[in-house]
Amino acid sequence: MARMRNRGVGGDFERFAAGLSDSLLYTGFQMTGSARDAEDLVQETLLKVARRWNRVRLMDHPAAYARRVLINLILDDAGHRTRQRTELQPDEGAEELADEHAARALRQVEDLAEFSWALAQLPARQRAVLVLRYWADLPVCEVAGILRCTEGTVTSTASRAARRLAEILTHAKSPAT
Amino acid sequence: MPTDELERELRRVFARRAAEYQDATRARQRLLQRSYQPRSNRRRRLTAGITAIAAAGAAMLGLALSGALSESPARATATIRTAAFVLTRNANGTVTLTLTKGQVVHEPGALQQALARDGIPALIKIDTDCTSNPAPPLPSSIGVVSLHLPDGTPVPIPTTGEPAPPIPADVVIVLNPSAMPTGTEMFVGYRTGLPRAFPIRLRAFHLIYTHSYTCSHGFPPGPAEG
Repeated sequence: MARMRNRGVGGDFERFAAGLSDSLLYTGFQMTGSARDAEDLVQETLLKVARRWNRVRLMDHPAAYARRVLINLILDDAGHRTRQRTELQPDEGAEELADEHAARALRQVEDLAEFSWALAQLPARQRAVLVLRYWADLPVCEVAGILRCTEGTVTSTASRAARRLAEILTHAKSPAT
Repeated sequence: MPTDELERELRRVFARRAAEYQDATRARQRLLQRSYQPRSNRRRRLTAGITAIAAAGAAMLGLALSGALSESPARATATIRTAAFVLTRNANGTVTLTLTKGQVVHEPGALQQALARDGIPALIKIDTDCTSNPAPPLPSSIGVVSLHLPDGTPVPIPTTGEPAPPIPADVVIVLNPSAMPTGTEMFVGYRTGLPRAFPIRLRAFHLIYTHSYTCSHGFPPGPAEG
């Protein structure tokens, strides 16, 4: 395994980073769609965790803290773009697709680039809920902790995000739109 | 709360997408090579390019560094200077490599790790040629590398299996890591045992597929090598 040079943070940080980096990388990739961005973000996350390692290592769930740092970095970066995108959404009042239709739209995804594009159209917090719930497979309470919101907000956001995602996919497939 | 069916479909499509992230292992290696010792003025957005890629070069073999590998902030220009080469990271993301006075690289790992620091996965060999079949595109054809003299005159790039004119001693090599195709690395081959008059001993400079290449001893002679 690669050897780290972390004189100031010690072997327990190295073990922590080695154990968590894959999960963080994939989460970053799912959130951004970019391997390079994911690597940058995880590196920045590990730097931030290392700076606070003396406190983080005593937490009950240091991994949850690191995930929160990662997600916050992404949300901070996406803030401006998300506001722009929200303003541009034309179908705020349109009827949402039912879950059944949403599941069908996802099942019909053949081109993952199309899915990646659709996912990127979601506001960052909606994207984060989907990635943390359905890729990282975190329980609702942990997602709520990372995003600093209620569990009810997580579940309602998950529903809204999934339907919106399906709606974007469906419209992207429609030749008339 | 989405229905079970919708949740199942979400998990399935995210899993498919994760399978497309093929560079995770190397990204992890690069990340774990970095120093995370707290510093006061770390810059945001450290690029993958500055990270060392291989554990093999960790000892660094006594490099004289004017920009220490573990200390350099990302995206800043930095220079590594050894007896055999000077490697400079440019602000635009390219990397300039100058081979010093025809010196052969006695420590391939040093150049290999220095290139890795700048986001260029590379395999450096002496008297050994490595190729992939089929071969990746010629690096000059896709903007990965260009050779020129200090006055800007282009210099042909040596390619395995083809006669190549001698490379001038003051050649400047410019590499663009962002143009490298996914899954490839740069192969740099040196040849030893050449006459003293032979200006420089770089003999091969091409791309190989990281997980699919073969190596053989020696190079075919160029026209000036006899």
